[in-house]
Order: sequence, then C-alpha cells, then structure tokens
Amino acid sequence: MERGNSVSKFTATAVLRRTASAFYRDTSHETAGALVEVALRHPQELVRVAAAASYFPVAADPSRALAILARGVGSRDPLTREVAATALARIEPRHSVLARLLERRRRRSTRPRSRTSLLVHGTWARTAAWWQPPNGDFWQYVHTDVDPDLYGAQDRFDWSGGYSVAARALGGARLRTWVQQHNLAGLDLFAHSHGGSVSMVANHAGMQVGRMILLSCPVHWPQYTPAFNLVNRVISIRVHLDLVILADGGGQRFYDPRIEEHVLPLWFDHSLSHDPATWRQYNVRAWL
Amino acid sequence: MGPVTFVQLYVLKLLWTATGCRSAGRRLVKALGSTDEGERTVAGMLLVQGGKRAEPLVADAIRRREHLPMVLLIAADIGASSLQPDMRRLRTDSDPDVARAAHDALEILAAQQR
Repeated sequence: MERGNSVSKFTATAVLRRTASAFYRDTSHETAGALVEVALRHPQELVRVAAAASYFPVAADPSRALAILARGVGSRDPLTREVAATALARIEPRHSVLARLLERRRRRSTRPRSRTSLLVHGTWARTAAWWQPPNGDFWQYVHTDVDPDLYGAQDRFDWSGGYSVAARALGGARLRTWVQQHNLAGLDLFAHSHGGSVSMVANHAGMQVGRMILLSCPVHWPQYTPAFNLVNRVISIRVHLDLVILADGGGQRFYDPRIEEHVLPLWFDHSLSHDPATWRQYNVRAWL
Repeated sequence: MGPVTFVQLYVLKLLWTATGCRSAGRRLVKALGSTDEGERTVAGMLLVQGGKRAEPLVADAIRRREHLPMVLLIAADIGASSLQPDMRRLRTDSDPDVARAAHDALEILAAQQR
C-alpha cells in the first residue's frame, strides 16, 4: 500500500513537472489551465489546496475548488489548514466550516490569565472623555504611570451608564461577557462610581478579578458587594463627604475589613478620584 | 461641584417635587448640560429620584433634543414606557451617541418589565 502511494506520488510529481515545463515553454490559457487541473488532482493535499485557491477566480464552476478548500480546513497539517482557511475566508467568509473552526478555537483556548486592566466608567459617563482610550486624561495617566497593560483597543468596554438597578445589571452582564470574549479572566479593574457596582455584579456572576480598584464608589451593602472568593484584592479610594454619593443615598465608605479603604485629604468632589493630578499629588499608585 | 451648587440643586428638586413648580424641574434638566461632571450627575440622579413626575420634563427635553443621550437614559431609568416610540425612532438617529443611548434605553426598559 505504502509502495503504491509512493508510486502514485512519483507519477503525479512527474506529471506536474511535465505540465509545469510545458507552461514555462508556452505560457497560454491552455497550459495554465492544464497545470491547475493536474495540481487539483495531486496526491499532496497542500498542492491541491494551493491549486484550489488559484483556480477559484478563473473557474466557471467554483464548487470543486470550494470542496477542496473546505476539506483542507480540517487537514492535520497546520500549513495546509492555514492556507485552506485563509483562501476560503477570502472566497466564502460565511462557510460553515470556518464558523466551526472559530467556535472550536474559542472553547479550547488555554491562554494564561491576563494581567490586563480595564477602566469602567460610572453613571452618565459613557460619553465622557476622561476614561476613553487613547486620549482620555485618566486613561493616559494610568496607561503611562500605573499599568502599561491598560486595555486601549477600539472595542474597549462600556455600558449604558444608566442610573437604575436594571441598567447596572445589564452593565454587569455586558462586562462579564466582554471579559469572556476577550479571554481576560483575572484582569484588574479601575472602576469609578457605579462602575464599581457594575464590576461587582459581573464579579458575582462569575467574573474572576485580580485587583478591583473602586474610585468614589457608593456603598450599597449588601446589594453590591465584591465576590471575595473571585477577587484577589479590593481597594477603595475616595474623598471626604462625596456630594454625588450623598445625592445617590449610598454609604460613604466600606466597613468590611477585606476592603482596603483609602480616604484622600480632599472634600466633596466625586471626580477627583479619577483626576491624574490627584493621583500624582497623593501618590495614589503606591496604594495599589 | 461645591456644596453651594449641591444645595441649589436640592432646593430645585424640593421646589419641583413639593410644589410641582415646572420651571424648577426645567432648571434641573438644564443642569444636565453643565460642564461640571458632578453637577450633571447630581441633576440626573435627582430627576430619576423624582420618578414618574419627571416624565413630562423628560418628554419635553426629548422633543427639544436637549442633552439627548442622558435624557433618554433617564426616561428608561424612571420606566417611562410611554416614551418608547421616541426611543425607537431615535435608535436610527444620525448622532451615534443618541442612537446608542436610545438602544440602551429600550434595553433597560425591557429589563425592568421582565
């Protein structure tokens, strides 16, 4: 059997060489077509897949090329698989074989936990500039001075910023899904105001967190609490008598000993905890 | 935002909710456009805390296209289902922030009704 295969490979290679030489001597549609035809029947899958990728743009009936490429996507050889998938994605991006390939890869991912961090804005702040990468002042400060791995791609997380339990529940579910999709379990969170509540909702829904850094987060205990078994550290940073928290009706500080509480020597202003000047002046970075 | 602005906003809320003074409520809506993040946030919170009483103010603000992303979310937070047609219409607004807020508002309303 093995000998038979070798003979067939030898014959196919000889035929291919002859056809290629004919094409080289006389470059025409006929010799080019003959070369592709021979390559499409070659015993080596990589040759067939490469031929199918070239055949498609000139073929009257593309089904043959598609069938070869679809089979190639399931090949054991990584190079063949990659060539087939790339060509198929260009020709028919919605092919079912490609969809299956993507699903399988997502489930099997074994990447280690990321140390990436993320900013989570608070109530009404979805369109605010300070947290938006790459130009928001607080985003720039954290990225430059605190954590160079701060997430800054265009698909950064945001939530509605609505001021209701329902809005925060939806935000928490969205955050958990976002982290799962980006494979970032264990990431650090810098969460301002009710962004902290959203983070805690996601944390309770099973999202693993490294450090949860709560900036001026209103305390609504026990409605919003960290899931202490799924978070490494919880650090709360705030000012004295935060007026926004007063209007919100939340508590001004956490009393659970598992939460490290830091009160800045500043008063009233809810926004100071995400102000780079505050972080620099009081060396807030050292508390993390 | 300092304590003086905070007290002013609270007085406006008291006037609006206790006496039904519409112009006081309108002042709160106007404060949603403040450049001070704290003032904006407190004004929005006070309107939401006014509940259904805020609905005519919010409907009026939507008609005038005042501070739309925030006003749409306030409408959802107070459960103003009568404003759903406006939210649906604004889902295709040319301003992407407005369109996104309208979409989020509908989602919040639906979650509240579940």
